[in-house]
Amino acid sequence: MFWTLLKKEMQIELRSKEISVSMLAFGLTVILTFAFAFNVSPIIFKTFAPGLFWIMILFIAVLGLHRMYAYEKDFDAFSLMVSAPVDRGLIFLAKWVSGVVFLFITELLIVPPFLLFLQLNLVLNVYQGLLLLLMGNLGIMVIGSLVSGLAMRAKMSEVLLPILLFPLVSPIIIAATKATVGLVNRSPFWQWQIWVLIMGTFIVIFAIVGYTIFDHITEE
Amino acid sequence: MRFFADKKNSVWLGLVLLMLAIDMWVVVTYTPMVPDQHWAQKIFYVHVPVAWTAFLSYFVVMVAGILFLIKKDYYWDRVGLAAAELGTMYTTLVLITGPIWAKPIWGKPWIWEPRLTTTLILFLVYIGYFMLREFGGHPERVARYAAIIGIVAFVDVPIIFLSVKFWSPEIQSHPQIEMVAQPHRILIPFFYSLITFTLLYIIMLRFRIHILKLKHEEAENGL
Amino acid sequence: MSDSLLKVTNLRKSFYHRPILREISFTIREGEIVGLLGKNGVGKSTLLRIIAGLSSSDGGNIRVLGNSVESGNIKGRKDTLYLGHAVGLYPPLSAVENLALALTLYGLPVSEKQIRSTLREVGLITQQDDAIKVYSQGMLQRLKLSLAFLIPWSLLLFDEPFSGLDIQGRHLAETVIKKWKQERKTLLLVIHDLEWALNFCTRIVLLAKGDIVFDGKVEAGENLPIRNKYAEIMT
Repeated sequence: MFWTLLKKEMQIELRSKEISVSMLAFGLTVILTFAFAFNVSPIIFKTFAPGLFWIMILFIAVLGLHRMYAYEKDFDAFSLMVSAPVDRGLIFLAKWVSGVVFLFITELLIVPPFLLFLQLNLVLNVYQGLLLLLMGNLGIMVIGSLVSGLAMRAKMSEVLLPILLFPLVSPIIIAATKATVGLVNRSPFWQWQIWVLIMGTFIVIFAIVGYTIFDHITEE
Repeated sequence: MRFFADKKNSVWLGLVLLMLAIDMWVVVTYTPMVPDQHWAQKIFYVHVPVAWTAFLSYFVVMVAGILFLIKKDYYWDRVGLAAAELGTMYTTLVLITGPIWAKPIWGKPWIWEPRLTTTLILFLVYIGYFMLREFGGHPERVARYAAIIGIVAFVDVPIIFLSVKFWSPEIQSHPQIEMVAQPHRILIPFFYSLITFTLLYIIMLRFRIHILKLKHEEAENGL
Repeated sequence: MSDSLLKVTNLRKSFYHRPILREISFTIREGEIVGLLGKNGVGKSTLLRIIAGLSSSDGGNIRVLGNSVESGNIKGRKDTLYLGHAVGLYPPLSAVENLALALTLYGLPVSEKQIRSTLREVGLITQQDDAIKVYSQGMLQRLKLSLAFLIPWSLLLFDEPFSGLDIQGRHLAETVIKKWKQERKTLLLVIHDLEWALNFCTRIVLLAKGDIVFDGKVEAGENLPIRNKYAEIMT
């Protein structure tokens, strides 16, 4: 059933491309704004680029999360899924995993322009970089799909989602930024593995919480 | 029925207020000055109990949230809301008293100390919590969502704390960590203060739950 | 009772702390077509959504074929099919894809042949591969009806079967409800038209001020008690 639900998310996105196109377009505009706002030497910029990168990802994620639940509301499609004899925790897991996939694809497309336009000459360990992106995405999206699932049914969801999400996800932003600093400075992995560990803990805990609690979110 | 019309409640309140007055008097006159800190250190007899109460309150929000989701009894929703309100009030006090101490000691009012930072993050989550309560629509639906936010927020606390701790390891923790090594003249008033503030919290919580129940009934009767 | 299909006991639900359903209890037996009538905002649709497991109640108990409808219990949702106001399907997907998804969600094998023959039945065969976002309101309602043909159910919860349907669509829906009546299927319908309800339903439930104020079988003839009570609650 999980695969059915995941396939559904993928199928809808392949057909409409709403989520990935909005995330990508928004990301590019953010990069442009960064380039204008931080007109400093690349050496100075390198020191806070990791933080800026994750801020951008968080903003992009909020946009994507919004769309991910918006199409459930258009024709009240959510009611079909919720009234069907489906384990609703799996709905959460499918939303989470699909969100991670969409965000990951967007990041693969957005990292080159980020480095290019902000003139960051970095030689990065690709595998470590991909691992970091994946962990960051899993962390942002695990709490993101939980909170946006809940904000969807409330009024003022566009305001409530970021206000609730940003503080809750702060451990991931701290950890991802710190780990990215390690990556950019080409420090050995053991020096920043603690951050990967913190992200892992966060992901596992909230995956369990989300799976358990989502039942109560799906009901009106 | 008025809360303090019940004699037990008024007696309790009087007792707690008396304890609080004694507490303040002891803190000002009896407790010794700590070298290098002088009067600034005295705020710890308030700051720490207030912080303890804030976290206790947010813990109550989580427990009430779980019970509300399981039992669907609005009593637990009221407990959760009352505890969230009090927790946020106490959190505000923590965020005020923290900088009051920090300014003379650290030279600047704000330092990203793990406990203080965790408190700030929780405070921000609870701003969202009250916005959800206020603007989210149907109170019945929002009650369930608020319960979930309360649970998620408290589960997040240890992870936030740990990540902030590793994030700025150069910042020293508050001195109360070495509390056990302190002389009796500090230790005993400190624990007395802790108990007083906890009792004050309990009576405030019960009073607030009572008020919320009246409001709830009023709405039910369509007044 | 062994043949009770749906058993609702002491169901409660409030909005803004105001009770809209207070301690509602009723039973539906197999083969009954129950029409639920009442003023707007009296909680008819809410009642249907609670039985479907979409909305949470504030208390009480619902059992469908003995299985409790409550969060966490998948079994409580397996014997009912809910058709609401909206079509409840995904705009970017085609009719065939949507119905295939619905079948999988109910744990049924997907047969494209069966889906296409159902779409022919409701008159959507020429647009079967179009994304349903381009469908008109009438087409969406027909598509919604096709769910009830495809997915086997013991209890159909149908909120306003005729809203948004054109004349032919209405005729189609009426024919199929008649057929279900002959086959002794069980339906709970939210209806606005008393005459229609007296024609098609076997039993009428009137809801007013959070309570069931009338519950009785439709007889041959004038059904004066129902008419009188209905006139009383609608004024």
